[in-house]
Amino acid sequence: MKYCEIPSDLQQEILYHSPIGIYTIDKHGKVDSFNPKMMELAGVSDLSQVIGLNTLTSPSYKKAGLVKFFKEGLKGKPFFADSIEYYSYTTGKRSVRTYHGVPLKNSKGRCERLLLLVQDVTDKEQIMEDLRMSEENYRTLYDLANDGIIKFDEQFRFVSMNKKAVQITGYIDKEIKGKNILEMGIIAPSSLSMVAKELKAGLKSRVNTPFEFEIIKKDGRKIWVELSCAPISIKNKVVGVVSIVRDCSVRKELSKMRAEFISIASHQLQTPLSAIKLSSELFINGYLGKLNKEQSKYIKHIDQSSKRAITLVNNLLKSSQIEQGRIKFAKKPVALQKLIAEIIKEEHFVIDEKDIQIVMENKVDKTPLVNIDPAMIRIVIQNIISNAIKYNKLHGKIIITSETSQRNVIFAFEDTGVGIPDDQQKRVFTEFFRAENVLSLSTVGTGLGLSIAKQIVELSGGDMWLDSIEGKGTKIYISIPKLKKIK
Amino acid sequence: MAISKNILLVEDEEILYDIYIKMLTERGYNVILANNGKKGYKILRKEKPDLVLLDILLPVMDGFMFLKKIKKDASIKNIPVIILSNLGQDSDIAKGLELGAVDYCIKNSTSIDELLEKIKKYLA
Repeated sequence: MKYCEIPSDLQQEILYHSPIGIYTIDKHGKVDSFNPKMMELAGVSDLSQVIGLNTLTSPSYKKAGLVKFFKEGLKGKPFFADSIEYYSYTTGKRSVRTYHGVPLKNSKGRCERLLLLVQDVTDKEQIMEDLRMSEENYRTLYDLANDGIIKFDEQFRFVSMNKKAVQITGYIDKEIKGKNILEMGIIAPSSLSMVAKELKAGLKSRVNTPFEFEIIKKDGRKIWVELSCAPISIKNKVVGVVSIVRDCSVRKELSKMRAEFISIASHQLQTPLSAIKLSSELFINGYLGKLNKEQSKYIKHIDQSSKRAITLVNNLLKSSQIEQGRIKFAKKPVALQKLIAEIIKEEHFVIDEKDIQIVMENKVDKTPLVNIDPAMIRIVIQNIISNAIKYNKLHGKIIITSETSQRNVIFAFEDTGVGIPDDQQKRVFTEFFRAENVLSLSTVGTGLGLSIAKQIVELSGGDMWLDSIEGKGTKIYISIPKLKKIK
Repeated sequence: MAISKNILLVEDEEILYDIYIKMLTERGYNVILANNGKKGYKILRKEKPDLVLLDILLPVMDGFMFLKKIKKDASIKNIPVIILSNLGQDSDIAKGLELGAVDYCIKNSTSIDELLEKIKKYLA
């Protein structure tokens, strides 16, 4: 073997600048040379502090377990010692080091000295330790999580799943590793195209809303799961998807039972409510003789109350039917502005009673047609206008405007009513919500109107939202897909 | 004085037929009651009333079946039938009208006056 000759002055330079601590001991174990990096590692400022130090008897060396290596080295056996915990004999500071021992032999082959190359790996050790901790934490979370965690590669093949995911799917990790989720028959056929679309979206964006679909477990049972996913990227390249999966069959079943209960209860309430309403009408219309003033007053209470209860029951029924998807939407071209005008005409009694001024912007007339079920959108607009009247002040206003975007028509209905308190605006579209500031008014309401309206608008591919200032008024917006022009 | 018109009321709920009978007789109509679809069909064929008020959810034979049967019988198929039901889904209404009913009234949302108006219209 031939080495490149290094001139002796350069050898000095190399020793001086080496990032590795280098020193030698003589055959008795005494230190006889020391480079600057080694001085730094040893924490000494003067060579006299270390030259002559006997490493074979030093307590620091003994404690670190180095003596036996050094003795072996001096016998001519090179060594590498890893993860040596060394406590400095000057400062007591702990460090983790690696030692390479190279015996230096004379011409007769006898070991005269031992060359030692020392590296401080304390930081590296700490990083590894942190990494191990982090991995351990992740493992624990992964195994104990009450949600299924499944990793897919970028082709949607299974990479791994945790215990909970195994429990949900019925498959064990090994059985499906490498199989494509879209091709292995685990997803119910009816959900397949939707899942494919959502997973593809999952490769692109970190913000994906959970989606629900049916899976077929290993034992053949079908269950509903909810899945959300996010891409896994390494150096800006997407290499897969991690997804959280939850068994939501119980929730699905409860929601179905709830809808069924509402449906049955509402149907059962219809007949007695009809009887109350019709009986009170018989009194009011004079079929049962003349009533005195007081009798007439209380019969009217019965009449009004029965009508309120009927509206509530009808709304509940409608809401549960929409929720269960039992109402089919028959979309047609509709001129919303005409429908709005019709509804305003129907409501003229209440509008006049409160002396409310309806302002319809001129351009509303030219709003393009929308594609929607006319009976359904009628419910939506009736609700919005009826609220705008009900919660308006006397001599108030309702301003109706429209805007057209590339794909949608947006109508806005602004009233000058009581408004909705800031902290309650989020809940406006949830079932049975009624704002606190209207509960104290005597205004009648079931708290179902806007929830039904929003469901209808969303099922029609649109959106519904609001702006409101308490005490000033509310502005409700609906956005409906425009009718596509037939080319 | 004109002869009173005969109305067949097919309704199983006592509490409701009681009210309808009161309201119709007060207006001078003769009311024949059937509390299920099958009885109603028998009476219809025998008595050939001027108009039928028909509930949908009925025992023995429901309102839709009732309509199907009279459609096939030439002697009675022209008697106007007004459905009077609380089944209010669009699909129910469409089905009722398709099977030959002249009108569809939802009990809960049709007032006595509105119903009487309709009866008058179809008897004219």
